[in-house]
Amino acid sequence: MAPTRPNPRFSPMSKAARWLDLIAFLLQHRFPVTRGQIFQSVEGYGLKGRDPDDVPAGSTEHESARRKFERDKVELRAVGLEIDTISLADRAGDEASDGYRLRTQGIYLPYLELDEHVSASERPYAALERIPISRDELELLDGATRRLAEHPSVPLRVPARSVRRKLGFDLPLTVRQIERVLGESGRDEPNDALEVLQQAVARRIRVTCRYYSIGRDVEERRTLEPYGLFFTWGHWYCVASDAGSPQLKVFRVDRFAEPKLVKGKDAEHDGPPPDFAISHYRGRSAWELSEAAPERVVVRFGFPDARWVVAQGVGDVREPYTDDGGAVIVFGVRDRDSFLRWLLTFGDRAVVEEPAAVADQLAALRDRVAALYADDA
Amino acid sequence: MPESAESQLNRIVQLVADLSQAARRGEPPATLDALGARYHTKRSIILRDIRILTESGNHADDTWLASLTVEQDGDRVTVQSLGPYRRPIRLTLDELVALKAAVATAIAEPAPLLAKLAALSGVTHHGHSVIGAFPDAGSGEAGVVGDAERAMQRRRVLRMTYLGEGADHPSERAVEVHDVVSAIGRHYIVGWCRLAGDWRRFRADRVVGSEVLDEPFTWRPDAPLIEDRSDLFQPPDDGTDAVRVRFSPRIARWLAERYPRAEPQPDGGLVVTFTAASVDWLVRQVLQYGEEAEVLEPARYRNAIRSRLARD
Repeated sequence: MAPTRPNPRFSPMSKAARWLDLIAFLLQHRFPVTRGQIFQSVEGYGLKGRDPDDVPAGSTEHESARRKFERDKVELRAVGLEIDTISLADRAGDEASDGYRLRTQGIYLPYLELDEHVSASERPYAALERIPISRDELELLDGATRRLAEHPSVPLRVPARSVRRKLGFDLPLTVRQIERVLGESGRDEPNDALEVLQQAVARRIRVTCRYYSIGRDVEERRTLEPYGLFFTWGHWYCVASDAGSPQLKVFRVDRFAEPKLVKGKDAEHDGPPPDFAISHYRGRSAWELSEAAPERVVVRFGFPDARWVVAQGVGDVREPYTDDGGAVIVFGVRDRDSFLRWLLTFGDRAVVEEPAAVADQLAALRDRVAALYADDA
Repeated sequence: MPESAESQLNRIVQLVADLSQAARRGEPPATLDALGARYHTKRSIILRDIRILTESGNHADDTWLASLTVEQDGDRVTVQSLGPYRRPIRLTLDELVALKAAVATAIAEPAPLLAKLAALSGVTHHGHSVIGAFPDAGSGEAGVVGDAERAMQRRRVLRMTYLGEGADHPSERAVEVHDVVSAIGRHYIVGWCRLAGDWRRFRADRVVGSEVLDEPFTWRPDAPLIEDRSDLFQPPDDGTDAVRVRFSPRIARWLAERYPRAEPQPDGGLVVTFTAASVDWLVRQVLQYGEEAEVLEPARYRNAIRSRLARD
């Protein structure tokens, strides 16, 4: 039976999530970006992906987004993050005259360097300022901040603890096991699929849900034993088995509906198989996210896509540089549909050499999609 | 009392930075209890932070989410970023006050050390505004990238004037372009530099001028690979387009939550308008759905898909 409504994965976006997205967006642009570009691209202002003509400056929606952005700038400044406002002198009109920019130097903690060798991999942001710290200064900082952080009553102990965490990112501050985990009293009922699954995985609790299998186009009610979660390439996945079955399966979290923690004597399970490790799924491509036996598929990629595919590290490269700048790559495919859809994105620059059945399936898929555009020809 | 967004942001960035650093060092995953103790909070708050971290995204520039991996194995958590948030943010005003108070009460002569540590804070007493004439965001860079891609595809030498980091004067370079990559919002031209007689990676935003010459070059099989998975191929075009894409009823229901402003269709399908800065990006986005997605307009995007699917 098909579901009647989508499962809302998340409640309205939180301010912290909007800020994370805004900061990341600004850091990705070396040149100043306009407010319109920010609204188009950053989640949380209510205008993402909208046609600017539909939301003119001065409209209620635009004004609401503008006010929210102005508040964000002020509040982020209080956190210590200054978004530069740049006057774009070569533009005309009020709306496009300002640009905004955030530099890595303006957001990240400068490197605190003790007199020790630090490898380049420990300094991912080359432009950041470096502050040399001597052993004597380290001792002073350690003692002074610890005394404040461990003080039982002064309000500044909370930011002092945070200061110690930040200083401790680069410097070897002394660690005392004085902290205790705060209680979990008044635990709220989880209200979205990811939250339910996080709790289920952490506490080894079974989950009931409806799950939509896109390959079979069916939705089924299931009782699952979730063992692990992973987020990769923008999607959350859960590794679980159907209750009573030893077979591990990979589920897309956004295809869960009505997930609930099982209560009572059947709630807990014995945990995953002894050899289970979620890291086993790290770096897998979408067509490898299944426990089905892998099928060997050989694909020839043309130039320049071959360069990108080889760099992605997917499959085993059999011929890295053919005469025409291409590459031949061997894949272990566990989910053929997913693999074919990925190959389709390369058009005729991806040719399946073997097996023939996969080549035929790709050709058929290509023909079906091309038929959607046949009237244009 | 609900926690402030400032406090959440500060902790989430630190969480990503700490766990990314631990992963780089090969340390085992941290337990939720250990993280709760480290951040003086509850396990459930750590899990909520992770949800918030992955809440946003899904636009053409979302390389930062693509460069993020999170794993939860029982009560152990791993987070690794290859993009933003690999360091904590600067000290907030409260943290700066705490640091000053701690140092001032513990040291007889705190001024020199506090002066040294002043740069740890990004807090200014008043916002500043920089006035200047800048090009449109990325437009100059886009032109350079376009030249580099044409040079690569036609296998023609790219002549460019390049101002390297720390250099006082630009230099004239003749480059055999073998790759153009985009990583974390920056574009790089990878090629054999005839001036240096070696492989070089040039930042496109430091190229002062470029020109594709008629002079051909031969493909070199020892071209360096892109080492980092976070390097994403994202060739930009000039400007952006509003592209309407129709999704079939079969998958529409699962896309409705991601695109809340999509237009529902009478047959249960969904029409989503994307802002595309790159034809190549849009074509890949649409084709990954197979026959379940169709570009409706503009025509040049339909043509791009038709061309991509055309057989030799």
